[in-house]
Amino acid sequence: MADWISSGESSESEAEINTIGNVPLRWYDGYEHIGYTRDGEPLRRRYPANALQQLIAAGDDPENWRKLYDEKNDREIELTDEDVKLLVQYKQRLLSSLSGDEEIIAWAPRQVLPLHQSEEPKRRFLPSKHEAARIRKIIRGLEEGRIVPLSQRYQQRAQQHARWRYPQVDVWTEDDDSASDTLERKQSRAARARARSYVAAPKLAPPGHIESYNPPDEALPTPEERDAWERAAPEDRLLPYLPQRFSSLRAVPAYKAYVEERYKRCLDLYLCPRVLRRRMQTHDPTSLLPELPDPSELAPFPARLSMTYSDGSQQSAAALRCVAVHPQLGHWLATGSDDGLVRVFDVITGALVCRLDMCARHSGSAPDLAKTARDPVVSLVWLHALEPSVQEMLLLVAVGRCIYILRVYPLIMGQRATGARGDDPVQTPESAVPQRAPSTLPLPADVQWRELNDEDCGALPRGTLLIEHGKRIRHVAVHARSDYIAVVGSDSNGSTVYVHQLSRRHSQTPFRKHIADVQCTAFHPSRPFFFVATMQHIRVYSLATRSIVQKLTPRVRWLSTLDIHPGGDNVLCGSYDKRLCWFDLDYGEKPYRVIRNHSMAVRKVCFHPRLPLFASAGDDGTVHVFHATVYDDLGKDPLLVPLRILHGHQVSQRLGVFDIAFHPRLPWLFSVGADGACHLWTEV
Amino acid sequence: MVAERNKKGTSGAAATYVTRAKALRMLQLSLSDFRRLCILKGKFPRDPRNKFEGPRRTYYLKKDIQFLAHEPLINKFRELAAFRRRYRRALARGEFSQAALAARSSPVYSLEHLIRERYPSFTDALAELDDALTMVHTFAEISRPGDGRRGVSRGLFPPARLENCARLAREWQLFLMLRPGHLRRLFASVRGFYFEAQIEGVRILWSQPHRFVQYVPPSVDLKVMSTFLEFHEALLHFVLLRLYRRVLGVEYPPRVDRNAESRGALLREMMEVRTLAQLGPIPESNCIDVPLSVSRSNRDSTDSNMHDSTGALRLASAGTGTGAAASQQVQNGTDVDEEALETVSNQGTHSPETTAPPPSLVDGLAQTDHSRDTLANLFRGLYFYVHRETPVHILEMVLYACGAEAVGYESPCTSTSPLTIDDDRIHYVIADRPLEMLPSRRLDREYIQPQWVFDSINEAFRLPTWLYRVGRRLPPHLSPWESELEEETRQRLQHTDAASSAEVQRPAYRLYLERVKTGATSVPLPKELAWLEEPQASVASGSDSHTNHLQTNPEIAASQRPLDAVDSDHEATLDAADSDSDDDGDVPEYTKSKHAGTTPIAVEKKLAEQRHRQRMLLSRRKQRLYDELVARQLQEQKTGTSAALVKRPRHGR
Repeated sequence: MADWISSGESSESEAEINTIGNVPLRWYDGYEHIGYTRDGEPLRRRYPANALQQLIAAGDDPENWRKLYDEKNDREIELTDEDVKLLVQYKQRLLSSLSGDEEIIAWAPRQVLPLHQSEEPKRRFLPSKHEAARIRKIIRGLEEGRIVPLSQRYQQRAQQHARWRYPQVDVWTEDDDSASDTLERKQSRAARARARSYVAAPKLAPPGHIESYNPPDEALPTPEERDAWERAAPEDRLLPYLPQRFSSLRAVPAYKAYVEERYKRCLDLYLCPRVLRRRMQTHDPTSLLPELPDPSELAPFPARLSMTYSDGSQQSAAALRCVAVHPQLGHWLATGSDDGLVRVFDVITGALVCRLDMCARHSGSAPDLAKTARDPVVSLVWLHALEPSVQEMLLLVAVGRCIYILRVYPLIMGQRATGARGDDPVQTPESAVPQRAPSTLPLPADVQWRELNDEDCGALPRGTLLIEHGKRIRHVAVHARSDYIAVVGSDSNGSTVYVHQLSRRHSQTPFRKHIADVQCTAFHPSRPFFFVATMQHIRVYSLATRSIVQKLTPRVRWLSTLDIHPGGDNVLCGSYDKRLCWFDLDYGEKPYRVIRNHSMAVRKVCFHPRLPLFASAGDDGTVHVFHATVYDDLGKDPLLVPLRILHGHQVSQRLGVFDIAFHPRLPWLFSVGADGACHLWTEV
Repeated sequence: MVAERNKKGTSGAAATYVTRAKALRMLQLSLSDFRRLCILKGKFPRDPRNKFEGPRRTYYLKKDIQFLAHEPLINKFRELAAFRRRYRRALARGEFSQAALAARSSPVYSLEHLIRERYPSFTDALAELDDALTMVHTFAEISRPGDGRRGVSRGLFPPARLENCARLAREWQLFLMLRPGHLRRLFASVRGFYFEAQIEGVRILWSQPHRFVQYVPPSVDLKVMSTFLEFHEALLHFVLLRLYRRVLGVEYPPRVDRNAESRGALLREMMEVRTLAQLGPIPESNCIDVPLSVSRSNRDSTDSNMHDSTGALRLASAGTGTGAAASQQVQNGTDVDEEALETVSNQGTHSPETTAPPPSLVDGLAQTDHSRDTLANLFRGLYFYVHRETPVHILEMVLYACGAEAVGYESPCTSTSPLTIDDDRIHYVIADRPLEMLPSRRLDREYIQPQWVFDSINEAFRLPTWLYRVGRRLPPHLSPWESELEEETRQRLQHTDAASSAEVQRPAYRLYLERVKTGATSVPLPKELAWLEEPQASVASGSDSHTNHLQTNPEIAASQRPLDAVDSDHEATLDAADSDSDDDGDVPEYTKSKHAGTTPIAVEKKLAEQRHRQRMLLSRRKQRLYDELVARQLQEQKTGTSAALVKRPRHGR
């Protein structure tokens, strides 16, 4: 097929045929020859340039892969087996310019200028035992997996790094296993302390309408706003860009400062000192205000003026000093006025059922209201009758230096005591407060007990008990069982506390030492404790041991009133310097809570006997109603919530509401004031 | 006798705080390492009352510094410093192979212990996720190195790291998609997109930039951001791991179908999620790729499927096998659809009419609480198609996160999208281009702008679409959080001036939306938005607009009458309230007619009373402060305010 192939065998023919040297062959592109032989003959191109023929030849000849075409000399070269072997070795970089058959001549070429004359040592011609040992070691390491090839090692390492960085473990598995309190306990003390001192970074405020890509008209700047924004220094601008409306979402461009704002946030997170402000640095007053529950959740409570009790016949209303509600049924209401009148009303209908003039006793049956010096009614209290069999209740009236204890039922029922006297002497006992056991102890010098007889009872019912004191009465407190009455009397020399025992008609002044300026007293509802409020302190005495138990310091200038929670553990007092102080008796001598709610002096505070309510009244003419839950759990603080401010009384001569009283069962409140009005407040 | 003097620095602020310089000496760290440590450990400067070393210093709690001293990371930092020295020296000497060797042996550390330490409970971690999410999303979107000076340096942010950010962002979005109802609100702002999600009762608010090349100004110290990002990446990794494993009960990390990704698939087609139960050894032959929607619609059968045959539960399969065949057939039309599905799962239908149960991967996961139900089912049973000029990646996430059945999109390889434009099931086409440029509009579809989706989610109610049709001028896009800000402003204003406080600045469109939501049949547009009703030329020209217009026309016609009626009604109530309050000033407000409590005057009065009651409980000092602040605000209001876009001058000193 190809006669020119056979010429490729000899070594001579491997020499260059073409003598043109190292010039590009394309120079001969247009010619028929491709150079010149040694003899100067033009060398003609013999090899067929046809690729198709070449392909056919390749298909026919299985040995075709050995054949190479030498373009310059225009001949084909066939690779021998040695050539192929050499090439393979070369490619595998097992560098060897020699064929395997040739013997290695261990001969090191001599230096041109040898430094020493000695012969080469023998060891240079022997394989190294040391190296062999090292190689053995490596092989063993590889076999045992101790030594990992570098490439594998890198791969493993990368995987390991990823695993270290982001382990596939649930960090918060403890959450599921145990409740949060045990989690709390699991933490070390130091960790808990750290958690306490940690201040979480404030969150970024969410965007408003103004940042919308399509803001409402209200959020778009007016020309003045735009001017102001443009004139302002960049740090004074609240928004780094002017709000603008884009016609569609695709029209919104990139926000250039996005990364920068993230960066600023990062700086804030790690450079800004964080402080838990106890004193708030605020321009917003509402942030100071505490959160309160909605009053409607704490209903019922008195909220609405529903009735005003008035004496129709009265021309000029004198101020009403005190008010008392029938403690069992709550259907009768007694008020005492500055001009010594006591009125009893029917609570439901508002009808005046009885009117008594306490100052008319000595001056005859027709008192001249204008002329006589009239003492105000200081206090009114409903008392239980001492005999359990008697259902009716007595009314205690304190006027001037005297305390009257009288039966009002006959008056209410329309039977004047005088009328009833002769008819049925058996049914009505002779005295309002019969003496059950005589007292052997001497009375204090300035106290007198007597019963009014027909001559001096005047308008009062017969059998009224009168206790006269040497001092003007300031306050009266009654023990829960109505047998003991504590009276505070005062004159220019100071104040005295009298304690009367009705059943034995006995009186005593329990304090040997003079206590300055006693304002009011109170009995503990269930335990033998006696509270005495002076101008600045409240002292708690034990009646059993006759010693002082506790001294409360409300830190006010002048106490005015005191009431004890029906539960007995909490005390509320009001003062003329506009404060209410709530004491928890277990809490210590300082008030648990001081409430400054009135703008003028506080005149009266009182608890509701059953519901969690209390109220305070003051000279600003308002009554404030509070919710007060006292928990049985000693660790829990009482919950005090102001519920409602009741406006209804007029302030006259800087005097507002004098006295308030709760209905025994219902959430109703009665209030009397300097304007001479008596109001009933009921729930909504 | 002279009293013993206290030794200096043993009590008070000097014993509690240390300055930064002193802290550095205590810790034997360089400033940059100290900063790094503080960022990772979450330690921040404090503000002692007595700045004993001068006002310009930074103070830290001494205890914090002592705590930092025990951090094992400090040793790692030192190793890193040594490594860096070795590396640089090798480079400087031209020993590149040595440098390469050193680079491969750089020290590695994990932040796992820091996550445990800083967030003892999972909710703690969720509560501080806001910044982490925003950072990770920012770097997921940031331009890659090589974009000139706009990009970030390759040293701090190698491509693998940015890819990791993208992965985390992707997985977070996928989580929201897998369990609809977590996403609560979102907002398209000039800055970017803001999102709010609620997970385990914790509110999470994050933002994401618009998809553009992000400009990184030279003033930004990327080292600081890199350190933050390092922590945020780790935090998000562990949070996601828990969310996937515990909440969803699926494998974490979810697998990425690289094939689909390279063909331009969106998240749902790209990710494969397998439940943990299925990770057990299951023979390959039994594995059937089931589109998620199918397995959803036949919940009763999932159990049996899980036990016997279903191996990998894929979130829609664009890959090989039966799933691909099914999707191929789905594209051909609905009639083929039924058949195709039967081949896949033997039961269940795809038709939007069937009321699908709440979404879940498996039965056990289907406990969606009731508060989430409205949002989780907002787009239940609906099919969407999203055009490419809209923010497709956002819309996909948001639509699936509110229960959409399927979202189709334009992609270079059409086979990746679950729906083609020709699909008959598509209800809504979301586009943001002129109407004329919408190819082949159809009468049975609504062509709406993306804002409809956002506003509907914020209102948790599918709003009337005619307001948002393609080519229209849109109603304003309102911030869902404005009410929070509004509340603050209102409270600030109210005790000062009754009139101004009653008129809370609420956009007219908000009031309109509230009425629409109450279910009123014909709600008039407020006067300010009357332009919305004007028939727009571009709308009328569209062939599809006829049907829509027919729907809305009665509304428009009816709207004229109630507008007057409502106004007069409103005035009447106002009058009533006025007369009431005149008659008996002391009677509590809620005894009045039920309308009275809602009139501005009554509300104002009630609030004033409430504030008075709250004030009672303050201490005397706070009462004084309160009164002072109120008086100051009153003054401010009288003197008039400058523009709202500019800070007001400080009062006082």
